[in-house]
Amino acid sequence: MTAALAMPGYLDAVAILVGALTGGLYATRRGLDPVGVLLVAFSTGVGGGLIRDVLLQDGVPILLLNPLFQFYAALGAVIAFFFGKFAVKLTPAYEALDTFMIGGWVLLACGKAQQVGLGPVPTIFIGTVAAIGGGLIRDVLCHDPPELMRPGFFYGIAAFGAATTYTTLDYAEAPIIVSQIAAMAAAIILRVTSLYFGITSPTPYDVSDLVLRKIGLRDHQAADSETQARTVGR
Amino acid sequence: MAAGSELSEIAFTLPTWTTYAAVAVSGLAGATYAARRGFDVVGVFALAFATGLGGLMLTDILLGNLTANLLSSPWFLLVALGAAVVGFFFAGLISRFDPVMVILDGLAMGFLCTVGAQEALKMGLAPSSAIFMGTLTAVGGLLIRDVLAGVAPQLVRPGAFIAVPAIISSGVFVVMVESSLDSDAAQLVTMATALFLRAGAYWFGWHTGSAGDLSARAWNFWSRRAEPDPVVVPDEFAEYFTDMIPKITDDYRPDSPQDKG
Repeated sequence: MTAALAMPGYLDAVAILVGALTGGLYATRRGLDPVGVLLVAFSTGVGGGLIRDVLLQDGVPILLLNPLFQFYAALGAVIAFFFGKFAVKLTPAYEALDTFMIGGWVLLACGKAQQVGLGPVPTIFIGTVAAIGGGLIRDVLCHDPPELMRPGFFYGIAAFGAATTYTTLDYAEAPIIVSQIAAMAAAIILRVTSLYFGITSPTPYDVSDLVLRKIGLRDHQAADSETQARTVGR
Repeated sequence: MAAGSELSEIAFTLPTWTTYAAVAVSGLAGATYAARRGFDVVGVFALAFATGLGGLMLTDILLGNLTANLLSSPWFLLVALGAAVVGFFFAGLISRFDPVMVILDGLAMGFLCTVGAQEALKMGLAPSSAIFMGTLTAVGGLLIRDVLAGVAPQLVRPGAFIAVPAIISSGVFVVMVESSLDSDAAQLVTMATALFLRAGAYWFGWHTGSAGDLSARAWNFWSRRAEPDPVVVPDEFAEYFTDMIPKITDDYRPDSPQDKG
């Protein structure tokens, strides 16, 4: 059940650098000071991993154990702070790498959760949280409503899809490499589909009236006028 | 682990109550802040606890020894509770002694830096991790306070030095301990550094600015263009860290009123 990840070791360095760069650029555009840019870059680059390690309570977070990770995050912050205008031109590249890395983060977290000995459902949870946690901390620090929770292109859904795919296949005792590749593919497919066809994550769709009418607890006219009143009032 | 065992013998001569004093000062600042913002009794208590204990709690969570430090003795919670009570009833009096609070806050910040950095060094972590933990211990409470109070975190916004003293003094502490100087001296120097920077920010208005862009300058230099640089930057250090000289850039952003705190 050990998850030797089917991707080269330097990829997580690239992922941290890219995450820190996007976070740092976001902070720079929001007009934060050097400390703010550094903090936001750190949290976007490695915040998800930090949340994962705190939740799993498996020793000191990897961020603190590996000074190299701190170096990459700080490098991203410095580039974003001083060369924002240039770095922002490479946004499509970050987007592509970010899409690719959703699956990577999910797999790293899921593998760690399995090593700790968690069952399938907690593993899915940890994988999803690790992939989306960085963006969440970034938005809290910048005092924005979390992008994660607003309707938009799939990100959290892609992470959830990847975590579910990996855990399901692994639970069905597929070879580890198959489930890992399938998970990364699931994340990429979900995200790219959403971007390409302009599908955004759904908001709540209220069916209470419909259900009440169907089971005969409310007649049509009253329901219609009430709905109308509510719409006008809004 | 030879270095680790050596470092675990870091013992400070400053008495134990110094930690409680640091918690009390930060808690008092948090309670006063809540009172000034017009929060109710629960708000005052929550912000006193968050500001006083938030940094230590973050450190303990990250290093994974929460029950070992903060919750093992009742005194941390009781001290924060006392700070909340005092802040609830005497907020007006305390805000009249702002300079005193700044001095105490600077000392508390320096002390908390040493506590966090020392915890990290004890666990055998790298110096950069120790600086990170020291900073987080010192300013984590402020971060949690602002998130709870629902304002944009002051910590990350341009304005008077908040995190800069913490980062610099953590760095001073780690460097002094790593070069195996006397740890008491290291602690005192750290507290003095934090106090100096914090007081300087209060009395001389040292503050951070937002990002200045060097892309065009770098490009000009790299491509050896002959045209003069359109952006006049008299002194880079002044611009990025003290910002006393007004910036002459096209995207000059005045501070929003919220940042004045």
